[in-house]
Amino acid sequence: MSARPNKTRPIRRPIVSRDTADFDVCWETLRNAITDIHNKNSSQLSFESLYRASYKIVIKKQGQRLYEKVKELEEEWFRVNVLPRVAELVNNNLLSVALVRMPGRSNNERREMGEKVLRGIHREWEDHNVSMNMVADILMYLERTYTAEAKQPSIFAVTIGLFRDHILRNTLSNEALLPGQTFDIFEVIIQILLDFIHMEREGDVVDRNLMRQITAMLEDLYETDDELTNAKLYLTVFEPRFLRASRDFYRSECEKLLREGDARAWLRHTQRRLREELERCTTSLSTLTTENITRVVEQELISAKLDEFLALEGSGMKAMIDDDRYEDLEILYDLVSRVDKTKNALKGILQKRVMDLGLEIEKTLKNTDFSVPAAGASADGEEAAEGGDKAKAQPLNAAAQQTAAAIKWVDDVLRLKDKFDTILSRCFKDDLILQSAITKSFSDFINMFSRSSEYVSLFIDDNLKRGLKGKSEEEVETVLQKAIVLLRYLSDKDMFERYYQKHLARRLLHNKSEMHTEKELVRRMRTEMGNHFTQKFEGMFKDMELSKDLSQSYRDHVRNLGDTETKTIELGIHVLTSNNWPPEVMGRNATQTGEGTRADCIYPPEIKRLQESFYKFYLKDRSGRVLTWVGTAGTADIKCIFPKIPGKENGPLSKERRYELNVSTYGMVVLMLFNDLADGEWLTFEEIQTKTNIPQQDLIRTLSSLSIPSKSRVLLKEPLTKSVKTTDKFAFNAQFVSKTIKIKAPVVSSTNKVEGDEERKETERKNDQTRAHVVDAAIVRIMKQRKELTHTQLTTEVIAQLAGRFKPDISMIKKRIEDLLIREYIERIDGETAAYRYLA
Amino acid sequence: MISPTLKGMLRGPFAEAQSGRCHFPEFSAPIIEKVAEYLHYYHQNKDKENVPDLDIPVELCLVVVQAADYFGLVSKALNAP
Repeated sequence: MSARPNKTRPIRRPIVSRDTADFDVCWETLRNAITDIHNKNSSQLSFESLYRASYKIVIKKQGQRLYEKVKELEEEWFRVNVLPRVAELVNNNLLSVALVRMPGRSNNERREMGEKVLRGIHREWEDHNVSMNMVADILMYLERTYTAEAKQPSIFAVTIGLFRDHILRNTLSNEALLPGQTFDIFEVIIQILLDFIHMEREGDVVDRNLMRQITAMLEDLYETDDELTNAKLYLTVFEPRFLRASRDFYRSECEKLLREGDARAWLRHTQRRLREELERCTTSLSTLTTENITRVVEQELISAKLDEFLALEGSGMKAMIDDDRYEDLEILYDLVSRVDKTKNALKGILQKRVMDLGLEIEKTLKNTDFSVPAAGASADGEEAAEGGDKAKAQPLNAAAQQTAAAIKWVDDVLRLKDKFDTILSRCFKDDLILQSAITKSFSDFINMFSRSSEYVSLFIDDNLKRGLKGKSEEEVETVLQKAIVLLRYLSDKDMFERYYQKHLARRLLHNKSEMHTEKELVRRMRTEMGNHFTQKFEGMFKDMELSKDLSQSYRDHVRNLGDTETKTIELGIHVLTSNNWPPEVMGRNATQTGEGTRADCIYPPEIKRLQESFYKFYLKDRSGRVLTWVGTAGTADIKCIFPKIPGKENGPLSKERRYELNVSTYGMVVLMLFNDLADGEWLTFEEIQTKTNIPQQDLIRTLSSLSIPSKSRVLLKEPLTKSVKTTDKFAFNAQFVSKTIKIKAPVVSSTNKVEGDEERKETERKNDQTRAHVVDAAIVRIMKQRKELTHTQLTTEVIAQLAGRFKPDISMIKKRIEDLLIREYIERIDGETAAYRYLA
Repeated sequence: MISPTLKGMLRGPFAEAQSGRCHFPEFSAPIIEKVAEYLHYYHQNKDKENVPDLDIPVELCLVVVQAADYFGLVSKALNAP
């Protein structure tokens, strides 16, 4: 057809007669051209004329024929030219196929043959690809018009597909080598590729580029001419085979590693393999496979035998944790988090290890502890019965050891915590799951240890009392931080509260610690635990501050009065709100120890007047309050004058000595008694007791501190033994000498130490009492809100409500419920199993 | 190159690509000129809006359409600015 610019006849006339002739002419042109193209002889061809030829054919509705013809031509080309070449190539190197399953030949030989085959195949493929691109170009009009309209696969796809059908899937046989067997070329290629990969895994060097070329070919070929993306030959045929082979390989490798029994080697090996496979995918295979092969490696090398590897003796996870093998743990974490998002395996072992190490701390503690404790325990027992004060007159070795044990325990726990924190941040990327697992185990073992609350409080006590002096802010900061960390683990927070209150009271009253550090710590507790937890502590601080002001204003008041009677005695007073302070300090629990009402100490008249004067002053602003004087908790500074000893002309005894004695309040009271005595007069224990009315145990302690240690022996004792008995006699030691002016009688009640067993039971009993009230309140609160509840629901709610303070006993809750039933706060609902109703 | 026909012609190892000359015996000079004008017009305006229409004389219309088909510009022409 010729088109002329100024004629307007229909373009596509149905011309039939000349068509076939035209077609033949055009086809002839194209056929020759295609043959030329195959022979790489295309440079003389005019694209325009060829394009025009196919254009004409299509315009004349002969597209179908052209399509078929081209296909036929290509098929023939393959049959006649390409296939014989490939077949020859494969036949010559067929050995390699057989050799894949036939050991004995060296890798080198196999590799060379394989490479030859692959290269040949690749060359044919490249040629074909170039040719087909050109053919598709000149047949562009066909492609654009006919195949699109006829919904046929494009001619390019079809001709490219021919390579698959006629080369790859062509069946060959070699009677000489493999009699009776046939195989297709595709199979050969796959075998060679897998063999190559295997060689590379074993450490040989292979031609990665060649492999990549072949896999690229497989990626460009599809199962059908429709060219569906997921039907690439690479994906449908090669990849599954590859994955299967890899799986087998890694399975046996994993077993080998397990037999060798070195988890470190396993970790590093696995890491290397993963890296290798990733690399292989980018250099030799296809990135499409990355995920799949990674999964295979993960499954076979990690998941399959994970537990066995972790449990390995000497190199498993336990050893890694114990020896701080951070690198190993880091790799391990990486690997495990690949296969298991929940990291259960890690979690389990980690938790178990924390528990074991935690319990070990307790065990070593017990072992070191029991060398001395018998004496301490019995002494403690006596004192516990006494109540009030738990420190001893003499700092007993056992007590000190127990305190040391408490501190050792806390230190050990903190060290353990540090260890796992380091592991967590260095190796586990602060993983949340593992973090909570560790936290849980820590709080588990800490709470399994029944004295943890007490020990933590003691630890804080010790640090605040002794440790903070001369420490920098940062060090203080770390101590505070540690304290809070431990506190977080405790579940019986009310127990801790009780101990801390007691210890804090002592520190405050004896001025043993720095106020701002104390406050800082309590402030942190508040942020951590909430208001109700620190209420009492803050009350204590407030009392201290108010008392300071009060003492000051009282002093001013006295000065203004010009009272000559009291001016020789300075009074520093702490007015304590009884609710905020521990009963032990307040001496309130005397009733519980069976002494009836607490006997008041008989103060010397000077003191008595002072007390009355202060009371009057106190009531001026605050009427209706009652002050109780607590002798156990106070101290007094006494200026003593020791007379010149007649007959001694030299040395310190020859002149009058003035000393300032710092003693407990009771000590002061006792010493005042001797003021009125003549020289050389003796007082018996009973006399002192009747005159002062100090409880016996307290008196023993007071007298011990005044008469036993040589540095503060202002009283003489008869007989001169190491302990005070109720039958002893005492006298003023006129010959007392000291190098220092200020003397501190060993303060009896200021050391906080571990409680003895009975004392401990006592504390627990008291704590249980408090708990009972708290549980009562919780039950009533819940019932008031919910009106009706079953027993289980109620129990669950109570536990949930109290979780922040302590873990209530189920049996305790049950008992409280029964108690509330009797007291008619709630009633049983008839007919239902264990359900209650709130009674307004 | 928006015309696949021209692209194929000049990209491959064919004579046109080697010599740099393309002959189109099917079409007369004014038509080829129009095609060239269109290609230029397309190139200049491809990313712009409110582009004036390309002026095509009525007597050339039919053949231009035919040429557009030959050069593979049909769908492109429809989408053209």
